[in-house]
Amino acid sequence: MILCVYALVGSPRPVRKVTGIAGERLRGIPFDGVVAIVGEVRRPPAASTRNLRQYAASIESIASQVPAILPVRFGTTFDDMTELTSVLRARAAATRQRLRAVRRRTQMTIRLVGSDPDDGRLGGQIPVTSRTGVRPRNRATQGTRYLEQRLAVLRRAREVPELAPIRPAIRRFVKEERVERRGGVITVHHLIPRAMAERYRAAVERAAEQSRLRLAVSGPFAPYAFADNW
Amino acid sequence: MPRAKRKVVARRGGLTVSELAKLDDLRRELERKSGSSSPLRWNADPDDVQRSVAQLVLTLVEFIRRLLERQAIRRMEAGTLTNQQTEDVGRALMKLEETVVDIAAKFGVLPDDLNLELGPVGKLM
Amino acid sequence: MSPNRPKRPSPPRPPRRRTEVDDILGPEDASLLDIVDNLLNKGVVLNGDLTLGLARVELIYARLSLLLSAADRVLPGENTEFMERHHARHVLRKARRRTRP
Repeated sequence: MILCVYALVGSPRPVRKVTGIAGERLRGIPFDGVVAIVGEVRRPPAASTRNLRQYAASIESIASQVPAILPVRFGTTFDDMTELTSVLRARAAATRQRLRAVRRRTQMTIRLVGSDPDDGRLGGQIPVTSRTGVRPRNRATQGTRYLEQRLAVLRRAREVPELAPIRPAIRRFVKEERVERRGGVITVHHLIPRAMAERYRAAVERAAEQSRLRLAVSGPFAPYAFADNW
Repeated sequence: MPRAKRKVVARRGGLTVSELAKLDDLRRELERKSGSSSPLRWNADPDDVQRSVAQLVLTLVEFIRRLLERQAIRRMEAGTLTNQQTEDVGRALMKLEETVVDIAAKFGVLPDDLNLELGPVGKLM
Repeated sequence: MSPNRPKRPSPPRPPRRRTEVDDILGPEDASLLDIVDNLLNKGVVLNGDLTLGLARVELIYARLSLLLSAADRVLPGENTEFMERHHARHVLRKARRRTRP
């Protein structure tokens, strides 16, 4: 039997009546102020539609019982407690910080059709290039210029000018934002207070209609996109 | 105390047919690229072992270089690097990137090949 | 983790109604992209697997547990800012000089 990790929470209170993908009872194991919600399974779960839906349901069930949750990537398994313990202990401080950031908050997602990032070849959240190709003439500031250029690329990637028309309507809800451009789709995740989900959705839809912006909004979800620092 | 039922709803009514198709393409792309729970395989091509090894080694170096770069940028933004540190770190990252690209070229490895998928972790970079 | 309690006799089961899980997941077609994106592309990453081989023969299985964290978060006591460290040392030296007889 191996351990499948579903989520990390901060609450030491036991999580009640949540079952995992194999129908197993989930339990919480504490490590340094962080509690890992795990289930025992026979083998690493396959990414079938059924398993994915079940996992998502387990996560939302846990989320409804705790103020802060960090969902773990699907299919994360450990052979034994020793390995799990050392990994979680090493990350305890960073995990606690992330739990504070997502406390009483939830994720909403907006998708629009748009261009891929300007350096073309990549997918995913982090812009990858390095071939800046510019070597400034002043040698004394080459390194600084290089970093500033990289920062500019990152900033451009974080921006979503396509969403500008609706930003004023939702600014007050948004605590954190994550942007991803991939496959011709722009995905924007917003971390908002849990109680504001319906208000957020109404504000997005109203503002989108007013500016004739076609988009899809979904949520609320547990904060998957805000779970890792990277 | 009764728990409020939260519904997960996705409203896609406003999108055109081709836009909905794009969302479906995205889903398939994500499934394809990160759906496998089996480990990533690196298997050196017997006819070009040198190139395969170079690809693996350089990918790992580039991975570390990008982590360092990301953190350096973060520190620069936060103002916790002195001007001299910014200059020194920036120059080192720049030189390292040039080195990786040059060595890769010598082994016939393209910049696009410098990537690995780590099973459930998804693309390394 | 369940406590050792004698089971209460359970009432006869009613026919299966729409459960909370059904409500949570919502309409089939709409939610699959979100589920796939959230579960396979996001969330905390704790480990990864890699197999290494030669000539199509798999030889090594490596379990990589990722412990990547920014240095300034891992070492909270250490001040990474050069000028501040320099200043702190200066203050300490001054304090030592004062306490010397």
